[in-house]
Amino acid sequence: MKIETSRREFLGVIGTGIAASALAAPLLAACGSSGSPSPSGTTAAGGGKRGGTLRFAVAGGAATDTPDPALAMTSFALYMAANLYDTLVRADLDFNLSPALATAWSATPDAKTWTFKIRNGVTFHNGQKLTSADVAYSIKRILNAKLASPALSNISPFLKPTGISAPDASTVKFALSAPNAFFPQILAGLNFGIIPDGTTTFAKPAGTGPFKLTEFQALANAKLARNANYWRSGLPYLDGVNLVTLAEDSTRVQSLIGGSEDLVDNITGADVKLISAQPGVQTLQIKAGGWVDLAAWGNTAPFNNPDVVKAMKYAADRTKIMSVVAPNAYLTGPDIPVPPSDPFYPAGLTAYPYDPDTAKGLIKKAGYRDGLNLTLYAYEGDKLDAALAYKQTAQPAGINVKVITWPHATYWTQVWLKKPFVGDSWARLHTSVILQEAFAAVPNEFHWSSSKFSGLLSSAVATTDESKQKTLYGDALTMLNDTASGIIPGWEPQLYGASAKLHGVDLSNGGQVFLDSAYFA
Amino acid sequence: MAAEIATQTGGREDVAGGGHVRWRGAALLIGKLVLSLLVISVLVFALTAAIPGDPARAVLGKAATPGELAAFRATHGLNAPLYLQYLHFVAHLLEGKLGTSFASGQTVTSVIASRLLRTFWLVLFAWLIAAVVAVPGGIWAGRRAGGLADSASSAVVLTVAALPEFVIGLLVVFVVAVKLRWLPVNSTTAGFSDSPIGDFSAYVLPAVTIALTIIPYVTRLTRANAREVNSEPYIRAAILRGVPGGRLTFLHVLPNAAPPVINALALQFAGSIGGVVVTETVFGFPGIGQLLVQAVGDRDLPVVQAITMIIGAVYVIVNTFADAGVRALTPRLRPTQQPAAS
Repeated sequence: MKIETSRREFLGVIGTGIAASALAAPLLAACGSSGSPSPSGTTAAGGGKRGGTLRFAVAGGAATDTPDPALAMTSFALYMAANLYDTLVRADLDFNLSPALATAWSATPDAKTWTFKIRNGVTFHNGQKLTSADVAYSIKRILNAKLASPALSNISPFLKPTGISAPDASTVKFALSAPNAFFPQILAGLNFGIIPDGTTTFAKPAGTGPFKLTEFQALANAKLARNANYWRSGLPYLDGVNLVTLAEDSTRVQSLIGGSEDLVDNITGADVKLISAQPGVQTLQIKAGGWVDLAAWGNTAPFNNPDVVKAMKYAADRTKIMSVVAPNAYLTGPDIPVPPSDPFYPAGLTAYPYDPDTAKGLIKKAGYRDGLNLTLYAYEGDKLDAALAYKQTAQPAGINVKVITWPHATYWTQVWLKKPFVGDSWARLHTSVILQEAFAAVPNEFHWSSSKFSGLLSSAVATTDESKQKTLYGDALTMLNDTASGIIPGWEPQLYGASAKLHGVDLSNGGQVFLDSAYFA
Repeated sequence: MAAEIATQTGGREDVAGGGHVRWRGAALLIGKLVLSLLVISVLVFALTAAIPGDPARAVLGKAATPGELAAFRATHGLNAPLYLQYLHFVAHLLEGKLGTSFASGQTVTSVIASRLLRTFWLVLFAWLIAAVVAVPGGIWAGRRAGGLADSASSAVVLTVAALPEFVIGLLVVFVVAVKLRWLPVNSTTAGFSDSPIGDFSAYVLPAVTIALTIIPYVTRLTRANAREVNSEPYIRAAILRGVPGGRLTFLHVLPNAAPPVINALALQFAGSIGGVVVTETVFGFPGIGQLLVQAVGDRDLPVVQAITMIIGAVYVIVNTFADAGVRALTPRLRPTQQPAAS
């Protein structure tokens, strides 16, 4: 599945993708089995003030939105799912796991059989008690292709419905058809929210989450009310959450500044300056929200010449490009889809420096005496920003880039995977997932295929040994940076604006805005 | 302009009618109405069919298989030739069926009903504000034509007229909501109830914004008419007879200056039903305008067709009624006042 991002669509996309997750899988991670574990993220339970209704304005919503967690795709639907339901585990920004409805989980050393212990004493919003049957039902349901869950492709390659069993009321077993050491990180995605066994309609949805749904109209609003029986005792602090759709960027920011909203999503780097100059408001951010790239076909001339690919990398002034793409809040990095904070980031790996002279020499060596002419496609937004900035920085290296602005409406059908040099952007996904999707899938936008690379990926998901995983992914990522025919100048943030009184919002990848520990001070 | 021309032709037809004038006039009016709606339906259908991008792809996503895409097209009748699709569309319209939304799978009626109601209230408020400000304002300025007050008000009105809706909207938001904090910045809370009684404050700013787009035109038209009527001999005669100012304005100037203003107000009412698209988007107001923008993006053709059809129908119907109203109000256009032609 292609995961497309732009500032506007960003979160939605993460959801369509895999909100996968993973630090090296915490083997036999038996954590927090005693009473009230603290929620993942920066704020621990306790210390918050009860009361208040949070007003949350959201940029992205669609007529297709539904409270069904398995079908959540837009940011609006994902925010609902994050607060109405619980997943088995939660993943933080670097995919480290903490327990949620599962108190412990473990795998056999070949990463093929996974066992989850289900928390006792949890009730759904309808009063029903949570058992392993509910968990088995919720995951099996996603494997039914007729449901068309965006999460289907995340698990269908290695899990069949028959592999899911519930040996007793508090145990769920997954017998995978192919090893996956990062299965729990995948199950942390919001689409894997747990619903009661047999649920088919969502008119009155029942989750186990901190809030219950009392009102919902697609593309307009949703009202969430406090779940007094929430299993994290003492939480949530808020009485309720009112979610509204507000697509207009400037109105959303002004609503925050004017005190009409307490939390707004999808703000830009320019807004950060505006908001920091105002009293009573703050910005919250996920620093490595997603990456932009300029992808070329490595098996097609001129990109099949390693000297040309190297020259293109030397010709990218990453700081300059990213300051255009995401002013005030960007990260630069080497040409890999993993940010420096990630546990799998290979230590010491650095980006090709900006060196137009070296690039010029490589272009000459490759036989392009009068310079290299390239045509690059992009559509309005971060992709076009990156393309136009690259055109400028590549000029002194004798690389003349002609940028073609293509309409968004037909970009994915007529340009992507059809033209040899295109702009794209992706959400932050777990290393195991993004390497597979962007570089090992056939076809992929880099026309990159390497049996050595694929071998490294399959070995990494087949071992539960963390240090082995690190070595394997380190080799794979270094290979990408050295030879893959793409430029990944850096990372854009995911930015939120919030009232300065609001504390304890727990942000993670894939639209995971958890409000269970949020409170007004 | 078009409305005035229509009014004149309407008047002439009545003249020719003789004894059955009234019925013939009504039949013609309805005939024109039906013809206009038919033309609108063709335009709406042709334009929605011409939106680039494939509805099946838009709804099912990039990951959809060719089989799924084909099944979607078959289910929604998208494989039939365009003229057949159009005939289905019109046949369903005549039965009062608006179809099923591609995106949500719900009936279009259920998707737009509460939004349509909210948009109706919004436009009605905007229009009332505009009428209350523009008509007295125009008469006031017209009676002082050429004076300092008139020039000053003209300058203000022309400035407002030159600004597009979204600029007016953002200015209004910035001053009234962000700086003064008198009202909420956005109108999203209007969605928590179907009528303005639930949350009236959410309607005020978008209504004022739409009103500000109507006011300049209506004010200037009223002013011009009031000024013209003011210079008529019968007004001078009234002044000489010592009729007091208020009585003069309401009994002599207003009725004679009113007909073109009524037409203009009607036209503006109909126009602002279409204009809500921008205003609703700026304010996040959950009405049909906001839905239309999303539906075009989603290639949700049944929803796009239903909303544009409704906007078109309101436009035509309101104008038709306005023409009839003007005819009733204007003595020289009344059939009974005309010398019979036969």
